Amino acid sequence: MLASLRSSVLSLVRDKALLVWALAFPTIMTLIFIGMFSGIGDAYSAVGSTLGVVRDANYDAAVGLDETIQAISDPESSDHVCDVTYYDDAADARAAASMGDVDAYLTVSGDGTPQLHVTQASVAEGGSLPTSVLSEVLDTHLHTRSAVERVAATRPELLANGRAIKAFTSGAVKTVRLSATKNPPSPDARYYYALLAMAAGMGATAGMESARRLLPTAGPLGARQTLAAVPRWRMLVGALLGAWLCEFACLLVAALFMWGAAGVPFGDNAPGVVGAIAASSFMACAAGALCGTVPRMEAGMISGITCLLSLFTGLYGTASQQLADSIEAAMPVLAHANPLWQTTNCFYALLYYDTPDAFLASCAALLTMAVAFLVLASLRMRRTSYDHL
Amino acid sequence: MGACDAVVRIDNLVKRYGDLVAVDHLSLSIARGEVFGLLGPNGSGKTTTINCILQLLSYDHGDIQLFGEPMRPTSYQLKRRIGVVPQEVAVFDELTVRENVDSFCALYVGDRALRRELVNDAIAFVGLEKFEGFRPKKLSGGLLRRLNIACGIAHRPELIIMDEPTVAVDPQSRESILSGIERLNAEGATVIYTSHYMEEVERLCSRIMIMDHGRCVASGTADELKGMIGTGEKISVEVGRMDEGILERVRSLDHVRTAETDGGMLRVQCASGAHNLADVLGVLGDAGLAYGRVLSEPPTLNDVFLEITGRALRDEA
Repeated sequence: MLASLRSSVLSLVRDKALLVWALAFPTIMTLIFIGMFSGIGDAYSAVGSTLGVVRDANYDAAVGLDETIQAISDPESSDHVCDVTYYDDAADARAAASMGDVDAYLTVSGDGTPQLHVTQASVAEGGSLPTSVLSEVLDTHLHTRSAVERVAATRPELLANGRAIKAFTSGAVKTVRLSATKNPPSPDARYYYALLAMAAGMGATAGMESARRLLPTAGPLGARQTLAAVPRWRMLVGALLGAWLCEFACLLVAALFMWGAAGVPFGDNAPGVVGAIAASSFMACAAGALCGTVPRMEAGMISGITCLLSLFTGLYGTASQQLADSIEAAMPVLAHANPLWQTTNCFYALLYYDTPDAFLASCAALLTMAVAFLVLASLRMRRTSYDHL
Repeated sequence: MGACDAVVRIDNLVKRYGDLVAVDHLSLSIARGEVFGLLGPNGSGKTTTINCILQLLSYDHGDIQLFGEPMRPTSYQLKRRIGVVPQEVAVFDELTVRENVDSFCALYVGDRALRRELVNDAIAFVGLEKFEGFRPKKLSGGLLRRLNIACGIAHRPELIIMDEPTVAVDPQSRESILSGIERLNAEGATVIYTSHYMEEVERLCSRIMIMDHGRCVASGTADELKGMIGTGEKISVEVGRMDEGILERVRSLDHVRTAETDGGMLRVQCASGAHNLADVLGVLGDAGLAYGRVLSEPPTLNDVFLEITGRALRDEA
């Protein structure tokens, strides 16, 4: 077994195919991604964070509104939502918005109702979330104002000393930043995870080559090794172990490069990341071993299958990600049957989920697939041992 | 030959591929220390027989014993005593000469220290010491063949099966390989040797079997095989010009099959007979014809092979 492992490792390390697909490919793609995604952080910054305010007579007359605006624009405050620029009239504010100087502007109508004007450009850039926050703030202000007016109409004495007004407005603006995920969202991490999954898939060629070399039907080298004085299963285990080690090492280096050079977040569970890489490379080797038992199966066909499966991991852009998400939502079984999706999900779960359940589920799925592939490969190798020469 | 002396013993082996009978009730026995030649035209069943011996193929009927024990796909102790040199070069392209020999030796020998010694010996045996660090792609055809042999014999097998090991090698490499096989045999190895080069088989093999259509059609030593056929010697006589009448008298001799002149040479193909040369020269002497050089070639193994298996082309659909 050790001899098979050694020759497998030496062969794979010296054969450029594995190094190209499992190491050079993700490394080069990472460098390309670094260039492509250099502005993606800015693109995902909060649109609507610059607010224009028309400071006219109506604005000044709106009780408590200026205090609200100042509260959410105070850069020192934890309630900071936006930066404010004041304009004398609506025309100036509109012009500033159309020039892109502000993402939205606020006017106050004659009856004191504040109106938020959002530019088409900010909507197109996906700025609905921050403007929603502003809308919520303004709605709260209106509710508060309405409540004060009702109190003034029924119990005016309560408002005489100003303490009641202060009580109403003190909690009127309260923004809290919440994170729905364990780590801050990284818009480009999904691409890198899908890239790692693709590299793992490409690495299946290592398993294929290792298994094929043991097949007597595949050539004289296989026939010669079949004559060895050791059971074939031990040789197969040794060869696949070698392939797995090689692919695991390549993917680990690629992941380290992504983390070090591109700053790709992998969460704070380093053993989990290593485990995900181990599980995905094991699955890939097992799949490759199965492919190796299929006559006329070429390495190019593995590349083709991997490219196709990568489509459903979101590697090829927003449309690909939407397709992957749609399939997961509509036909989860289909999505989960994709080993590259499971690989991507391993890393995704490590980064974002509070509990390890999703990560463990994906790892278990990968290991189950690997066992199934190995069983099928063993059955096929047994069948093709002798009478199919 | 007693059963216990036989390194290989095959009884009534039958292997069919559908309706095609590849090996047809073949029986043979190879004694320890023999170099056994297995001859036959393409498709005669040689390789199928070898694959059955090695359990690379299952078979329909018969019994195969190696070293007195039944051979099975899981007979690892028996496999340890067998070395195979396949017809095609079967080595790892990515490994060096030394790594290749070591890898194949490791399939039979676990002890690393012993293996190191065996690998050194095997590399020295085929004369590849200067190429230890070379990968196969850097080796010439002859060197590759020698590497192929080293990989098959490094674990010092008692039975070595060589399937056309000298195909496509230059005369120097061939000579090196043949003398190597002779040395292996001298050291006690039993060899099964297949080749289409009759002079190699004649030189190496102590016993020869000719197969055709899956059957043994002749078996024995080279001399015994030559004695089995009707072909005698080929006689060439330098005669200059020769009358047609004298030529007809030569043709009319009892054991003469064909006689013709070619560029001042009389060429006569005889059937086996005790006095062929004397008879031919007697006719020339009686006719008063002066003759120069005389050459008499006894029948070769090639003649035997062609007479037994026929001259029709094989490998045709």
